[in-house]
Amino acid sequence: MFGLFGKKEKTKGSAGAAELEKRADFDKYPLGYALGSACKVVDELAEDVFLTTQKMRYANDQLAGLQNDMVNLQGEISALDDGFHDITAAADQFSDVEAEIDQSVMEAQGQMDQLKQDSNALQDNFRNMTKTFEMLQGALDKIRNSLAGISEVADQTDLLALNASIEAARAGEQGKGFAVVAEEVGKLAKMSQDMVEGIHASIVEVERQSNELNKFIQASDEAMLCNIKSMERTSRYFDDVKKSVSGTVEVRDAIEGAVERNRASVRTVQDSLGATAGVYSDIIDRMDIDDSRKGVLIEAFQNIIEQAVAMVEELP
Amino acid sequence: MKFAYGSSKTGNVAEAVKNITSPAALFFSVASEDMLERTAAEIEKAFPGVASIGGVGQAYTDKQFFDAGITVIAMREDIRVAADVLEQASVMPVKYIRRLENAVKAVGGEKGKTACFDICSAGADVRAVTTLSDYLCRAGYDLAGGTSNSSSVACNGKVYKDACAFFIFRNLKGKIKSYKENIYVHPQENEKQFMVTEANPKEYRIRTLENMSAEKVYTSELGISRDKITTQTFKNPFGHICDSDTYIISIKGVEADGSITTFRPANKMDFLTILSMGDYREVVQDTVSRIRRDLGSASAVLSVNCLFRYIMFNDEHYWDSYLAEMSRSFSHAGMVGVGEHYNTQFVNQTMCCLAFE
Repeated sequence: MFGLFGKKEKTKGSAGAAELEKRADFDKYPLGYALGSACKVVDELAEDVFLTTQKMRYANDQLAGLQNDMVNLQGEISALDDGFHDITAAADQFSDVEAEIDQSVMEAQGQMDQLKQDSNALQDNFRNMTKTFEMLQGALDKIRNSLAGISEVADQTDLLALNASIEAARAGEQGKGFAVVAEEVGKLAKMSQDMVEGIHASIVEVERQSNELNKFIQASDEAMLCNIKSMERTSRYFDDVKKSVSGTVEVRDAIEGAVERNRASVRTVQDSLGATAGVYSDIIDRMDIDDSRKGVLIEAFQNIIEQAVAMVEELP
Repeated sequence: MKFAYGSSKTGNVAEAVKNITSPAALFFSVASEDMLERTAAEIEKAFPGVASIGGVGQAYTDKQFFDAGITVIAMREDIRVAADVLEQASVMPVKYIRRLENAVKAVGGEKGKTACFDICSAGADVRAVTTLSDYLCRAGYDLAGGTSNSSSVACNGKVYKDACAFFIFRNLKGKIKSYKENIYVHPQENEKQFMVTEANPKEYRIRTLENMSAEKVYTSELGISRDKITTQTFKNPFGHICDSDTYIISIKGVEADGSITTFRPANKMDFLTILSMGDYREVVQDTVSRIRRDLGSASAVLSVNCLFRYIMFNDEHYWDSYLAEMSRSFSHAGMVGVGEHYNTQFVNQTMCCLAFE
């Protein structure tokens, strides 16, 4: 940078010749020689400082990049930790849902039991009704037997009335009043027979209607039985649901256990990264040398030494 | 300290100094270099033995701005002043450093109450500032000043080529402090710092930043074309980061090899950033506030404003408001320079000043 006194500087020749020239310069201009040497040393020193500064800056940049990566990684791991937190929260939420399902199933089962009780009571009622119909059938049979007796009495009465009429006819004029009575008795017998037939027809109709009703009750009873069986199956299904839901507790516990173990690992990694980032930061802080004055200091030194060189050149 | 002013558009010294009496020091500026020698001699003749320095550039006193003839700023009352010159300023100003030491001794230099104000020849600024600050900083004295738009400067009636003329002020009534006003700010987001990896400070040339062509870095960072680089410096000059401060470097041009030439050299290993225009009204207010906070009611401020700053303020129709704002708070005078000096640094596009308590 400085040269060796411009006009006094010699061109370089062989090593031996240069040495001779140096010695000649030294003998002739000792102060100039010393200053020129100082200039060269400063130039080399400045170049060395420059290269070191560049290396330091490169290292500093790399370290800052690494530190930045660490910080980013810490951020990612924090996000992972947040993810674990979300999983745990989801598991907790699932637990809440499970409790709600359990509650709903219990309520449904309660309602189902009540329905079953009501259905059983209804089935009992149907059975009682069937028994009542059987009793009704018995009563109707008794009526039918009684009617048969009445019908027989009516027939015999009619026969008696006929015989009485015959006997009245034999009696002639004297039997005329008796014939009227016999005719009336015959009419009564006929009326009794007609009534028995009417009652019998009514009984047949009652029987028919009762049988229809009985069939309907039987069908309802069977349907109720099916319903009860269906309710029992549904109840068992609810039991299964309850059992299935209660099984998720174990899954949730397993998730929480795994999450907790992973979180512990993540924290260990985070701590490790934090410590490493801290070390990098410490190194960067220690490497944070104020380079801004180096150029100025070298400039100042060069200015001074150049002035010294100029003054030496003025010496006679 | 108090200012007294005078000017002459025709360059008549008698006219310019007619209202000046009993000055302790005289600072003058002339519109062109050919007026410098005569003006210096006539001022010396008018006020023999009074410390005086001068250079070439526009001047301002309170709300007035002078870009023709000569302007003389007299400083008086409660100050002791010595003026001298460092010759061979671009080569070996250190040879004359005794003059600086003697000037400090002459005023009875006292830390906090003594400061230097300099005007140097164009092109001599780097070495002049380095040499001045080397002594002044060690002694604990502030420096402010600027670069004359000429190869010569005047001191005590004589004109010197390649020189640095200076005042050493001692305020007998309080402190003197230097200030630097930077209207450019660091980008608020994603600020990048670029290390100068190849440069030729002697040619004021930055070849590479972070091993990439300076032109490519600058144009790609700002998204501009190569032909816009020179004018872009008004909006986006380089900022040289040193310690915790930032010093502006104006861009002069761009070379065929992708180098960027500047008005202040950058050295290999300097850290540069690309600055943006800040709210200059607010910055000016902040400077006034800082001076008031530090010095209470400052009696006077002697400043150098960069030519680029003057051009920019003028384009923004703010220059007159700027002078009015400064003069509202204290007596303010100075000149427009082609480089500014602040303690250890030679800077561009800046205002540097000495404020007297």
